[in-house]
Amino acid sequence: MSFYKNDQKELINSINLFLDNILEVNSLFENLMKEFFLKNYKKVEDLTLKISDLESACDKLRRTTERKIYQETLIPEQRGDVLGMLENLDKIPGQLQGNAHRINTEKPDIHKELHDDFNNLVQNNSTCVKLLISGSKQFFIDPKKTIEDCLLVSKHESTGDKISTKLKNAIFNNNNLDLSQKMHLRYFVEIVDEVANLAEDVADRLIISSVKN
Amino acid sequence: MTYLILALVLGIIVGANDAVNVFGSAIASKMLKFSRAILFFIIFIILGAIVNAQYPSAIYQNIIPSYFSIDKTFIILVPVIVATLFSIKLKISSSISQSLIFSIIGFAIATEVNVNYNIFEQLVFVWILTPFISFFLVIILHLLINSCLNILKLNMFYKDFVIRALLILFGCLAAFALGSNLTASIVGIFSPFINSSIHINENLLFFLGSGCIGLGALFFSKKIIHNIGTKVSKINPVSALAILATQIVILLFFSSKVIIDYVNLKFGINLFAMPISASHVTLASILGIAAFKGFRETNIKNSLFIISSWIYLPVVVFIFSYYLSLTFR
Repeated sequence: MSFYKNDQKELINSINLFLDNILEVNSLFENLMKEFFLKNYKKVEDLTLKISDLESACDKLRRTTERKIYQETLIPEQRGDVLGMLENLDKIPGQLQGNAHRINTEKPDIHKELHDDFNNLVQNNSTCVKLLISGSKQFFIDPKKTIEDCLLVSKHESTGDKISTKLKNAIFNNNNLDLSQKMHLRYFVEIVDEVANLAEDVADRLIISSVKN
Repeated sequence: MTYLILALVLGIIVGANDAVNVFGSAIASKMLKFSRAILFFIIFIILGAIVNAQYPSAIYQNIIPSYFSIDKTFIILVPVIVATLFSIKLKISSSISQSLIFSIIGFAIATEVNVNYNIFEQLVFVWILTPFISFFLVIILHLLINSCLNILKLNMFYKDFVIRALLILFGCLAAFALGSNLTASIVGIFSPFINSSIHINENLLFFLGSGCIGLGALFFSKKIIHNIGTKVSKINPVSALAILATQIVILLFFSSKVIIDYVNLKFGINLFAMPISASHVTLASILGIAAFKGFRETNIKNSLFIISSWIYLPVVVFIFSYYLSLTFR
């Protein structure tokens, strides 16, 4: 049983570090996309490696935190919710890492006229992740604020859906692209948009957990 | 000495029966481990017994002004032991003090010994009243504790730490309060014989009694703790705190001479220290919390089963003691 305050402090620090790492991965992915549009492929590769390292660090932190919560039988009432939250949050850096690797490896040919919409999609997803992390941090202190942030995540996810639909229309209505290119770009729209979908899933669970607590 | 051994056996049984009242809710809410909780229980039950047990003990002498001889104590103790073992078998926590008083009354009627019915009536009145007080008091304390924790806006993990620390603190205080009540129940009936038939220091007697309670809790209380803690209603950590706080208030109120003297002086009444049923206070508090939450996750059938034992156990003890006294008069 955890009786000493240090255990709690250590856990809070681990969770905060885990959440900050997700924010960092998110920010690196934003930069990666900027560099990709500028065709700085060397930088894209460096950023991909950094994202991979941070993603591994997130995995490690999540496992340590989960083990500690169970070993020390901490927060018995909210334990399930916190573990669920950590596991689902961990899917986001995983998805961003996958996206970074695919972009770095496949280097999709994104025409200039699509850059703005692609950027909007990335920015919107990034906002989703930032709001989700803010909500996740508040979950441990003020569940009401978590709900507010998580509802904004859903709102941004809907905006992301609209942007991705617009992008797909633009891709498939572009006569300069052949079908294989269209399919390739559509695939990238979907995997970039998937980040917002994952954020929304976590946000939905967090809302339920916050209401429960 | 044989009678004293019988009382110490009762002490072990009482420990098995009553440990649930102190740390049951904390263990059931998964905030404390059984072994750690029992360690605190033993230490503070002994302290409480040595500091306060002489006050509620006086009731046994006062209820029968012409006290019985020491060789009759087994007639009083055997029905209580049998009834308590029966309740342990049913995995319910019974009231030792009530069983003891009803056993004494059964004995007194059978042997035509005068009973101070005025004290008995007051006892019964307080015994009926305390579950109702506990039922409402626990709701007030639950709201109060919850508000304090919400105002502090602590991180979930710090809140967990604070609740754990408070559960241990409150548990120790409750064990201290219960120490006097329980020890008074099991060895208090011997108090009038000290220095006459029994040559033992009263504090040593209380130490032995409370030590046996601790041993009983250590070896035999686990099953009852899990029954009360999980089969009546789901208990969360804040509820566990409120339940313990209710117990402390009620048990200390009726066992502390300082508090009773103050209340008598302040309100001009004639209240006296008396053993209160911690089992009844605990169950009533759990039900108070359950009512506050709209009886969600409450096992009504199990609760009614335990409440019914509050009525039939004293009656069974009374009848058993009455016939045992007739047989051995």
